[in-house]
Amino acid sequence: MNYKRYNLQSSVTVDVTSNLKAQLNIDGMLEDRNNTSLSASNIFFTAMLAQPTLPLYANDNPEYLQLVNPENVLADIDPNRSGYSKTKNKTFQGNFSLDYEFKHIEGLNARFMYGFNSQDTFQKDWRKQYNVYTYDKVSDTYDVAGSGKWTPTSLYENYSPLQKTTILGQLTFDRLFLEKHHVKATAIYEGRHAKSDNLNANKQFAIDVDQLYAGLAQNATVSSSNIYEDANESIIGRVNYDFLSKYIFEAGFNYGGSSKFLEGKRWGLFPFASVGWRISEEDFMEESLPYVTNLKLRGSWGQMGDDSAANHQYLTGYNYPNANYIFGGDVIPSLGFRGFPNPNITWFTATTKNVGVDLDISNGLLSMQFDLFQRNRSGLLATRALSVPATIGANLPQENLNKDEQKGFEIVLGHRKTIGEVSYNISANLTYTRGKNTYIDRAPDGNSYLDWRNNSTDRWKNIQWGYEYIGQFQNYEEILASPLQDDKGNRTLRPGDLKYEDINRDGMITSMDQKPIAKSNIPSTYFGLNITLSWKNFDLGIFGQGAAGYSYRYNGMNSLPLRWSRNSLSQFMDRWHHEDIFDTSSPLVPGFYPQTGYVDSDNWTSSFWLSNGFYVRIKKIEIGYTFKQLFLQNFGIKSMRANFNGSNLFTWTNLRNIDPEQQQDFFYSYPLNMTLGMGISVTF
Amino acid sequence: MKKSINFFIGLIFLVFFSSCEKNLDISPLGILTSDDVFENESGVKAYMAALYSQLPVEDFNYATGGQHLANQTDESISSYNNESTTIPDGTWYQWWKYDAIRNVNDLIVKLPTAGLSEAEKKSFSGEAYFIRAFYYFGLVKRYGVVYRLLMKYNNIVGVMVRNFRFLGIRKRRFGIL
Repeated sequence: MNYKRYNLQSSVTVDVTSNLKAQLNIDGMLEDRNNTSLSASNIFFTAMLAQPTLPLYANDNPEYLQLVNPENVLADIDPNRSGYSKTKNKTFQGNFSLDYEFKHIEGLNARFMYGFNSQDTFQKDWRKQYNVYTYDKVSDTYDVAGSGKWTPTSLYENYSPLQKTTILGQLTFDRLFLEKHHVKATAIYEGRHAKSDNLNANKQFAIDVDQLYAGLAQNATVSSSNIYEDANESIIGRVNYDFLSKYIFEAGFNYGGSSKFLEGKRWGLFPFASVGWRISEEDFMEESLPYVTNLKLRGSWGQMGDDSAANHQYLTGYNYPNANYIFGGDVIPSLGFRGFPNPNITWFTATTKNVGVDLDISNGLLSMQFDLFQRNRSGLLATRALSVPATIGANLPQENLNKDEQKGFEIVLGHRKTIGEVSYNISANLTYTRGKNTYIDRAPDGNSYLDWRNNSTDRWKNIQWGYEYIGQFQNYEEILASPLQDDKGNRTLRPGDLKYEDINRDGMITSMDQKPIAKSNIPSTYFGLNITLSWKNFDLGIFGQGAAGYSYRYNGMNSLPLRWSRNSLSQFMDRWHHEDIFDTSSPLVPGFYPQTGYVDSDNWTSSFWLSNGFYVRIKKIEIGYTFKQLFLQNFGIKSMRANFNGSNLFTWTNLRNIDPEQQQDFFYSYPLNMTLGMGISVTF
Repeated sequence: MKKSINFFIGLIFLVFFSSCEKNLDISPLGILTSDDVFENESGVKAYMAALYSQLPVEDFNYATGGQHLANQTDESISSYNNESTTIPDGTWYQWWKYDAIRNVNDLIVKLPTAGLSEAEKKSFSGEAYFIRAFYYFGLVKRYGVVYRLLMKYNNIVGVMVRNFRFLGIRKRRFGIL
């Protein structure tokens, strides 16, 4: 495995006349990525799941790989056995711009820019078949027991060129009138165009030569997918005005067009405006509260458009090729039918409102920023539910139907001070957000219970449904006296299995006994802390972050030991089990987890499997030392700094085996790395 | 000096007024239009292949969803799973494909404009009429009285306006295609 990158950059600026400047930037990059045919995280979990009772080589003979469930990790890490995945990326970026300053009108500038971006990706995946063996002791032979993940050997090649162009014209007028009125006006036209093409080929192989020509004609495929072309245009106008930097106004609009919609629905007008008042600039403030360096009130309102709809939903037409059908002796690929078109599909709009205060006392001794924000999106795409009968004979298209709302606040506090030779700067921030759907197009529910269960309109999104866990069954008498939870008269349950509250008192634990039991897995609160400190030539930087207000639901290996006859985590040693595990008549020993063997209800979502996801992590610490200039000057060195740094050093969390930042479900993700580094930077 | 001003003003105007509707008129790359399909015989054949492949399965020896028809009864099902097993409700054998019927209607409407000889048009439309009859037969066998999807509802917007008006949604939102 390796990764190589080559860069080429060039920038030329020419003053054509005294007020016309031309600039040309050219940027080229070549990337060469060489990987095993399975990704690193895949290899990691294959190694985690491997049965520990089996050797990796059959009979410990390195010539024969042992059959292991799910895969033999030695084959996965070896390109000679299981193949490789190579990607070559070529990127070219060119920008040409002209800047012009009008001499007759003071403060008027014009700018023209043309940008071209081309990205070519070539991917070659060689997926090689390899044999795994079992050893037969009696006859002393090695039997082929399987042929690995890739059977038969195949080669997949993909070439995809992508081209993007940007054109921009801009007029800016910026002038201070009568030394009081500052006016700035901007008009922008921007056009973007992107086109992606694609070719992919796949062949199977009888002889292991990793080139397409050597592949078999049988089952060979050539096709193209993900081909698209789209364009956007915007006309943006903006006016800024401030009076003595005291009263600040801004207003403008963005008139955006997108090729994803039909003529007539293509353009959307998205206005925005903001006001600000710097109270600290007022005379009365400077007289009465001179230590307030900055106090500003601000508010804004704006709309933004999003055209992330699937392309061409305003068109009927056919998808091709679809399922095959045989006419006589010929295989004919059939057409696929698209549903109804929606000629009215258009932008969805996000309206953002924000009010805030900035406060700064004595030049940073104490500073604060507080923001209250709300974002309402309308016209979110959804397919109308159950509104037309199936006898119409076609699927409904997406429409701009749904609405949602997100609100919260953000606060940043800072403190900066110098005491003698020590100076430090602390800054802490906290963001709290939550959202709800304010309108969802849905069929009305049959009764008020279903409405409560399924209708999430006007309900906060960050809730988790589940069963109320009330303890483990202690013995068979308790199981038989409890509400039914396995639809087989509780006969499959064993002591140690999880017991749930029968909320509706109907004698059965069904999905109707679910209720909101915890917060969802999306944190409502994020916070961070940044500390820098310097003393003489030393400096120290600490950056920490964390999240709160969410819960994690243990899954996969974390809740299902020995699944699919694979390895398990040692935490499951603390489970209900027989004193002698080979004798089912021996007495049971209680433990934290239920007995092994799969009982469906043990893995239902309940507080047993949920954990508060609160975490704090020291993301980065850096210690530096700046060398004094005197002795370095002899070598022509202006300054020199050495540093030690570490990232992901400490984490405080309740979660076991799970990285709170990655929150990977089902299997382990590739774990987060702790890195320690050392560096010297020298300026000549 | 003057020249460069003129050149520049010209350039700015060029950029601002090149922003016409045409830049945004991009035809889809991954979708076949009616014109592509009805241009020649192979397009219509692909259409017919889609119609034939959706014929209802009436053969009791044919297994869909991995189960034969007999497996939908309690006589052939084994109770291997703790003496409890669910007898399927037979929905695997349902056939409520009004979308397939609409596709035939669509073909019958568009066939006269196809780039085919008169003899081919006649032959294809004969097959289409038979397939539609067979589709309806499949429906009638299963459900008895069924709806008929009228040809006039082929006008897609007509159908949408009708249904959405019925639901109390304003007509003008659906415009004219």
